[in-house]
Amino acid sequence: MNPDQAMEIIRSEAIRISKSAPGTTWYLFGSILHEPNAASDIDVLVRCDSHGTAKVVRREATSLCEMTPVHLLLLTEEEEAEIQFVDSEGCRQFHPALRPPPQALTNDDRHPEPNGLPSCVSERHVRPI
Amino acid sequence: MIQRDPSWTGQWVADRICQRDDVKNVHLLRPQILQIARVDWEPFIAATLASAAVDRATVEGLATVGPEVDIFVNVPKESIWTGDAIAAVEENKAAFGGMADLHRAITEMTPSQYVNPEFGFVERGLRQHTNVSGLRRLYDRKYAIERPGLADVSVVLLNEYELTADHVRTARDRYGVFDSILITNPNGRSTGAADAAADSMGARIYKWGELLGRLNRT
Repeated sequence: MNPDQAMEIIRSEAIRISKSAPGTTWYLFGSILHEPNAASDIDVLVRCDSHGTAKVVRREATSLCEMTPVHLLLLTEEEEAEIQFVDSEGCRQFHPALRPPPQALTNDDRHPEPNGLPSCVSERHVRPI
Repeated sequence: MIQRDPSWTGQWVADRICQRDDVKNVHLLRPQILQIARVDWEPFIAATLASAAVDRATVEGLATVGPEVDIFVNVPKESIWTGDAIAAVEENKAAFGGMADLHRAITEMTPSQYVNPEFGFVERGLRQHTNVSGLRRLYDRKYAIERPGLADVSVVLLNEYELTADHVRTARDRYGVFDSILITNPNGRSTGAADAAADSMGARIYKWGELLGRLNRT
């Protein structure tokens, strides 16, 4: 297993677990962001809307934690507001996937989709070209 | 659901440590047995595991498959070692820990004598306390502290920078009932929700100096 394969497992487990725990946002932090090949483990933060949701994530993530070198940190919204961990540690959200800001779009990104909008951007982000 | 097969750990560990300047090469003798050759010291043997709860059988199973193991390395961070597993490691005259422990053991002349500095510090400090008559290790992070004429204190060591309510609840699930949590990270702190979670279990969260004071009280 290499870091890419581990991340593939982590992403698919984040998607699966989020179905049982919808009020969650998943982030990476720590050495995996800076030195992925040297990182001994993969730090994952899951921000949860309640302690109940955190309990569901902890239970559902048992296999993930056993079979990958994940270090799981679960914070409720209240705890995150108290310690501001996401900002202070430079956490990077990976689930749900973030949409790129509109100024990052290139002309290629603006190819019309069936509904007339690029798939990566919501309607309120579209500016006149 | 993902597969429970620990054979990935050997290659994972080899890939991580072969990048070190003080490691000459790493031979994967078996999927979970590595021979690590170092620049300054003799080579040594590491056995790798992936277990949520390492028990005696897991240690003994790896100890008998090949060369004498110097250190047992459990790769998953979210895991525990039972007291029996630690006893089995000691019977094999080996060391144990996770990836961070392996990185530190590589720098020591005799990796089989490696002791995690967090545990070493706490054990030494507790044994030197005038109100401590004995120390029993129940799990990797749980000790029973015996006191002369007073009830034992059970303590779980958590090395978190931000100790959350989930850490407290998870410690309870993993280690059972305890009186105290010791935050061993010198810069660590607990959230308000963590304090409340501990309180609801009848436990308290302490920093090092506070725990030493607690041992003097009934």
